[in-house]
Amino acid sequence: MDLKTRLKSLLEEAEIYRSQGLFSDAKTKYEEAAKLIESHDQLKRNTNLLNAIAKKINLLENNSQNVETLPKSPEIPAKAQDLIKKLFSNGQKQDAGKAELEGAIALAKFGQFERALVEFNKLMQTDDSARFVCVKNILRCHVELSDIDEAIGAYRQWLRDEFLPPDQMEQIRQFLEKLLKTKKINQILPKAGGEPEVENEAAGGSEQEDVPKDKPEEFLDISTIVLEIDNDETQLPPVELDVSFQSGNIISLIIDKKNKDLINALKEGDQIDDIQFYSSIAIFMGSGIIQSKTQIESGPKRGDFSVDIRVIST
Amino acid sequence: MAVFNAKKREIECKIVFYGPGRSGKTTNLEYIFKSYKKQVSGEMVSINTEGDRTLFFDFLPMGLGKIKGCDVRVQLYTVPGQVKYSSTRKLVLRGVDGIVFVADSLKVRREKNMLSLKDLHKNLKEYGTSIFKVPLVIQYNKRDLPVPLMSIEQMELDLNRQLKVPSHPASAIKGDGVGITLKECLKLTLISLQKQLKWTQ
Ligand SMILES: Nc1nc2c(ncn2[C@@H]2O[C@H](COP(=O)(O)OP(=O)(O)OP(=O)(O)O)[C@@H](O)[C@H]2O)c(=O)[nH]1
Ligand SMILES: [Mg+2]
Repeated sequence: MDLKTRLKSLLEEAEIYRSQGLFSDAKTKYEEAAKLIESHDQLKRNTNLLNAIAKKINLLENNSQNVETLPKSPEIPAKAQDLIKKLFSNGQKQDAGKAELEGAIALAKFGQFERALVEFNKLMQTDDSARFVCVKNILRCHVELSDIDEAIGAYRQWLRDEFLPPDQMEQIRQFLEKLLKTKKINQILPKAGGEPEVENEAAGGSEQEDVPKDKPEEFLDISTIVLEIDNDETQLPPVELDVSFQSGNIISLIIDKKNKDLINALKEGDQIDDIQFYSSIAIFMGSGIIQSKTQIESGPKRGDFSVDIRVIST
Repeated sequence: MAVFNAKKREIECKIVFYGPGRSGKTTNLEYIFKSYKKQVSGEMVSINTEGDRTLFFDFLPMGLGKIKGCDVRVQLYTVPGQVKYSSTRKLVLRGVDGIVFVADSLKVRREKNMLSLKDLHKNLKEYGTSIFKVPLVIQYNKRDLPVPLMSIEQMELDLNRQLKVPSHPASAIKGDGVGITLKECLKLTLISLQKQLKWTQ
């Protein structure tokens, strides 16, 4: 292929990628074209062409930037929200109240927090059995919208009104404190039962523990864990174990066959508390349930054990 | 998860068009909407961003009429292909009965296809099912474009070596291969549902 034909075909290819919305592929082709021009004196003289290509590249960079910076879940028109509510709840299969609740949860999952708040507030008034779930979700929506004062204000109001039984209110308190920690806010909230209120602890700070969000979809990647067995039967010092694989909230560990005591102490179905989970952005404490324990039968790790743990609370 | 109403003899199932960003999922649905007027039973709804990229999903309801004495309704969805929308993609996939994987034939998109298939695999697994079990058809789209394309053999090797599911070349923008892909997927899905729900005459 002669030089001109090659250049022409590069430019055509780039243009097609651009029209397909494949901005970074288009950019790569334009850059190849520019390089080709610069490496040949006869073409190099054509500064117009080089300038035109530079402009194209610039535009493409802007386009990619625009696509990248679009918000992930902007509020969408009410009609589209209605559709989400309808499609993502099992309306036909169950009673209307439950479908309403599922619809509201779906809205929150799609990031439609303002609308979800309206729905949860409405539901909470009409359906007593939905109160607890509504309260949790209302708090989550406020926090997602960064309306921290609203969240705390709502919690205080429910507490005063004894909107939920004390044990549920206590769960809500813990839930909200965790939620606030995800936003790096260390707030101690008043408890049900009337302990004196402690005012606003210092907020922020990078040393604070971060807690993962309470959404299964967004489970943090865990790289290592530290666990300690300390029960009636067995006491073992803390060990650090690498996570070999993770799928959602289930992590897999490989334990060396030499670690007999540890292997024996980990029983399927058992719950282990106070596990330290290390991820690239946070360390947190939590509990896990031993999902399975199997001996590896072949390969370099033969004889070692593969243990799956389901992370249940963090 | 299909909804089966034994009394009314109605079944409603969900087909999801999956695949990397810009591979032509929405274009498939648009073509179906235009060309299968008789089966389309409502408006097509697209929730997209400014640049016409799917933000949440596209939705198109269809009615296939009576099959084995049962009224069959189908909901077609597309997922957003861009990597950053992974959590929405997973939400839309929930309860799926059959999948069309729209792969992009452009050479420059080779890796994106493979990553998207891997992402599908992972999401299905997290929903407790498997890419080897779910009714699945692969479409090699954009065969019409005059830029370097992968050969079908190459794409089969990349994407379908283990799965061994039906696959079709296509040009969704012209409509070539769209109908046959959909029909094949519907066929597999209905066979699988008949087995699961034991729905017969
Ligand atoms: N030439 C050609 N262009 C196509 C074909 N299919 C899709 N396109 C174009 O490719 C671009 C992307 O198509 P979409 O249907 O929006 O892709 P998508 O898979 O829905 O993309 P996301 O929503 O971002 O995941 C558009 O410019 C389409 O016109 C095809 O078969 N041939
Ligand atoms: Mg789309």
